[in-house]
Amino acid sequence: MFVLLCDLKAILTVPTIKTMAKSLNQAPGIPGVFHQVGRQLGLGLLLLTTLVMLGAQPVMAIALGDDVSQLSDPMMERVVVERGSQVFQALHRRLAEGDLTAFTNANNQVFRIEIQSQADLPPNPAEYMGTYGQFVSEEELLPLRGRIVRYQEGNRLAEWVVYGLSGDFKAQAVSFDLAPEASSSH
Amino acid sequence: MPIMMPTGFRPFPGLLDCLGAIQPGIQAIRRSLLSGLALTVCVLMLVACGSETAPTTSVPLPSMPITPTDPNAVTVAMPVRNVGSLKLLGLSLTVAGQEAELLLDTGSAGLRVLASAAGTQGLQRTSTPSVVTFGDNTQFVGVVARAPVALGGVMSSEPVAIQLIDQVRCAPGAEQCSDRLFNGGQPFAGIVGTSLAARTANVDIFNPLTRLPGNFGSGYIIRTGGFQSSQGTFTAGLTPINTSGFGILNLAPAGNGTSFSDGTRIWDDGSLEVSYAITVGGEQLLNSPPGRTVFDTGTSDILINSPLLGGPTFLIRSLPTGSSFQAILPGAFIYQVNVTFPITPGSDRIFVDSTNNVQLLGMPLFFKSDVLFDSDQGRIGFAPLG
Repeated sequence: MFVLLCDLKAILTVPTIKTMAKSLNQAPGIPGVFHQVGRQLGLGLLLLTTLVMLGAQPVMAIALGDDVSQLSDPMMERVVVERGSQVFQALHRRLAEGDLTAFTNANNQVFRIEIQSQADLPPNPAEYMGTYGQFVSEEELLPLRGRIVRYQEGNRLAEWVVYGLSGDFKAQAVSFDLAPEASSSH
Repeated sequence: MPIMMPTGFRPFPGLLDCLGAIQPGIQAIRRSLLSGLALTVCVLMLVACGSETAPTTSVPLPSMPITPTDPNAVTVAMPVRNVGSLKLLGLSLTVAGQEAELLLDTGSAGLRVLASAAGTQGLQRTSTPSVVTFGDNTQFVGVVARAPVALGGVMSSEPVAIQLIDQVRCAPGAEQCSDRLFNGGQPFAGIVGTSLAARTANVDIFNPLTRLPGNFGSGYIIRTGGFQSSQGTFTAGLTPINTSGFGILNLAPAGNGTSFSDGTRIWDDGSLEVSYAITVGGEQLLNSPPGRTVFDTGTSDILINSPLLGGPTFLIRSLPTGSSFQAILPGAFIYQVNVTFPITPGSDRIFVDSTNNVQLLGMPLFFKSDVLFDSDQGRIGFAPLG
């Protein structure tokens, strides 16, 4: 699933929409319409060029369980992350509002996603939990500090944790049944 | 061989060799913990459900007497509030002429008070919107304001920038949050964040105690009186008398050391590094090098990032009964918890995950230690319960 860079797109397209609405309302006649359509096309090309120049390429959404072997998102950098005695393959994406790191297992499946966000609202687990989001869940609150949600179906278990406050959120989605044996054990 | 030490807090006696007694290296986690997981979940559910409406106790709880220290400090009562299964600290401030009890939070910065609980004397309400959302989806919606603030009759030397809260709610789309802490007759009319760091999205809203005049703004001391206490004390103003007996450590400056145009200094209050050890089922699973730690009254329990400290990822959410936990801050304390049955929030509930990039020693530590925060010189100190 592709998610466009909404902020940039919204900023750049809103003036265009307003201009088109104005021109249609004024109904200036056929030559005028052609003239204005030409202007709109030119403006659209300019905006498209600007988007490409700014590197505003589609951003790949990523969730637990995703197979990243075929992923070709230029915004995602493949990295190796050391955590204590363990070494993980991961994908890292840096965005204006924070960082995302997706850890993968030997089958190239995402088993953990770590998010640091400077946004006003906490990250939304629905974007990251994948199929686990459909499982039965139970929620635990640490007043003001954080929120923990556990998703379980049979022996499949995942968890969403978020801490922080506006401007400084840290969140994690983790699948315990997809995690490598060395780190998932219990 | 695990360290054998009674549950509790000890000022650090210089026994770094204790660390040597801890087996080196991280061992594999035992599958036997799986069975403990189910038990832990059950216990947590029982604790969470059973304590929401439970009366505190019929036996009067001990409370600390308020004794004057010296003219350069002010000491006020600090109630220990039972909120569901949790214990949190209250601090009464006079905001624009009206007294309001606020949740004392050393882990955030800034005074955030319900508009209905603040007075009107000297209150300057602006039209600048201010919305803050916490990690549990609790959302304060209001505006920035300025108001004179007083603690124990000591008035701020100037109006303080605050968040004036018009509404406490769950963030849009959230089904649960902790709005009940502040709405409908609950004890707290907001939060007073006294972090020495500017830990807020709006740097104009910061620790209001730094605006108390003279020595009163130099720092503060939190004395809970212990886990069974119903009331501790809060002292504003550090003096040679009231700081004696504390093991005091220096913090690193935050950023360039100055955050505000008036020169108020801020400090990296996570810069003290504590070593941790965790033993579960007789097996030592974590024996960490020093890791950044925040001392946070706004956190009801203890939160440890095991992988960040070089330990394993735990499938369990919190350490099971029978586990032991140890935190060592050289020059300040050795703090040990033995997790008992049932696990008690605020006492021996220790969350282990890999989300936070800093360790949080919350209320359980404050129930074992008096803690001093020096905002002038950037220091934190610890002493056995007074």
